[in-house]
Parts: sequence; structure tokens; C-alpha cells
Amino acid sequence: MALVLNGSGTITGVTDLATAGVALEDAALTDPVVTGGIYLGGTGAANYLDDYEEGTFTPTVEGSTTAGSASYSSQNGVYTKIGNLVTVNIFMSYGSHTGSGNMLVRNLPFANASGKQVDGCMVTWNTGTTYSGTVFSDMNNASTQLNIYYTAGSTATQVALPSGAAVAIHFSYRVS
Amino acid sequence: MALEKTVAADKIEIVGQFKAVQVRTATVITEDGVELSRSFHRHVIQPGDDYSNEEAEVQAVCAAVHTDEVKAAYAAFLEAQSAELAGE
Repeated sequence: MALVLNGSGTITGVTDLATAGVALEDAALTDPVVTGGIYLGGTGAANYLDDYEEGTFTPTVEGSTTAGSASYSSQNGVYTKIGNLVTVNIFMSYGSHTGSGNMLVRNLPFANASGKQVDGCMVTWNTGTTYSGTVFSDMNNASTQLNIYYTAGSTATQVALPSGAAVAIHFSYRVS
Repeated sequence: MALEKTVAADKIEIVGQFKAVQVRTATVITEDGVELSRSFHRHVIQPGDDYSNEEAEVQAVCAAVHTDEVKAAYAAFLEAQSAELAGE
């Protein structure tokens, strides 16, 4: 017996799939809506998946001393949230900036709840600025802000706010 | 055939020790009342942020949870965290 569910379908007269002779491999689910969560691989809290969401946000580049504002030609952010893990992809390009200090990327879509700052992977290119070492980012606890660093030898130094830049970021962090 | 687009905050969450207000804005396209698409845009309002341009409902939530005590605690937390990072 095959069981097929679609987004507008309902099951009637079946209270137990095993009794009804429906094996899991026979079930084809199309657009089911789960109003709660689902347990995967166990029944503990660590096995519980209760949220999936994807969307957009509007990131900004600001300075740590003076936030300022930028003239953006691109200012795009997308996110995917799976359980308590959020992954963001950002691309921003701006030709001028009125801020000063170190470079901050703000307005991420969720507040960080990792319990401490987390280090992330970043890919970047900056017009007018070059770095000999690795460029990376981290995120303070309870914030929606990325700090941008570059490595020089064994030292990590915050990136000064470029007057113009194109920057691409891929970053993951945990949320409540 | 009537197409309609609505944009509204459909989820307002208060999260964390410092009561960050996470706002999800849904853009919904319907045709004769039948939903064709729904997309989400998010932003977060931290204690001390200006929320005067938010929807009235969001403003009310922020006003309720971002008390002077919460704003002071969050500012102190950020300062302590910055000092800790500077010492690394």
C-alpha cells in the first residue's frame, strides 16, 4: 500500500500507519505541513528540529568610531535558518563612506546566542585595500554585528574601514 | 483576477538575556485571496537602537522590553566584552 500526501491532502480512516500496512519507504510526502517539530535519529532535545526558514536581510557597513553611512551599489543579504543554526551570505559594494574606525558589518538577521564570540569563515575582496594574510570575521555574543580581521604573522588585526569596498561574506552562527 | 501585495511584520520575537527584538517582515502576494508567494525579510532591534521608524506594534514591543535597565545592562555587557577582546 502506498501513501501519498500532498499539501492539501488529508488522511482519513487511518490511525496507525503500521497497522494499515504502510511502510515508510512506500510513503511519498509532497509539501506536508508540520506545525510542530520533528525528531530525527532519536527522541532527545538534541534530535528535535523545530524550524526552517529562508529569507533576506539588509546588511550595512559601519565604522567602529563613527558609524557613518555608505553609498551602496549592492547591499544584499540572504539567510537560511535550520534549527538553531543560521547561515548568512552577504554581498555589499560601496563607493564611499562617511564613517571612521574599524570595519563592522551590522544588521544580521538574528542575534547571536552562541554564548561567546564565534569565529567564522569569510571570503572578501576590497577595492583599494589588500591584505597579505587571511581575512576573517567574528561575531560578539548577543550581537548582530561582524568584526572583520586580517592576519599578519601570528597577529589578528581589525580591518580599518575602507573608503570604498566590495565584500562577500559567508558566515554561520547559533541563535536561540 | 485581483492581485494583492501585503507587507507586514508577521513575527516579533524577544530573545536572549538582553531582549533583542527580532522582526520578520512577510511580503505576501495573493490572487483573488489565494496566496501565490510569501517571502521573508528580517532585522533585529537591540536595546538602545532607534525604533522610531518601526511599525506601531514593533514600537510597542520595544518600548515594553527595552527598559532603561535593560539598555544599561546591554551597554555594560558590550563594554565588558570589548574590554575582554582587547585583552586577548
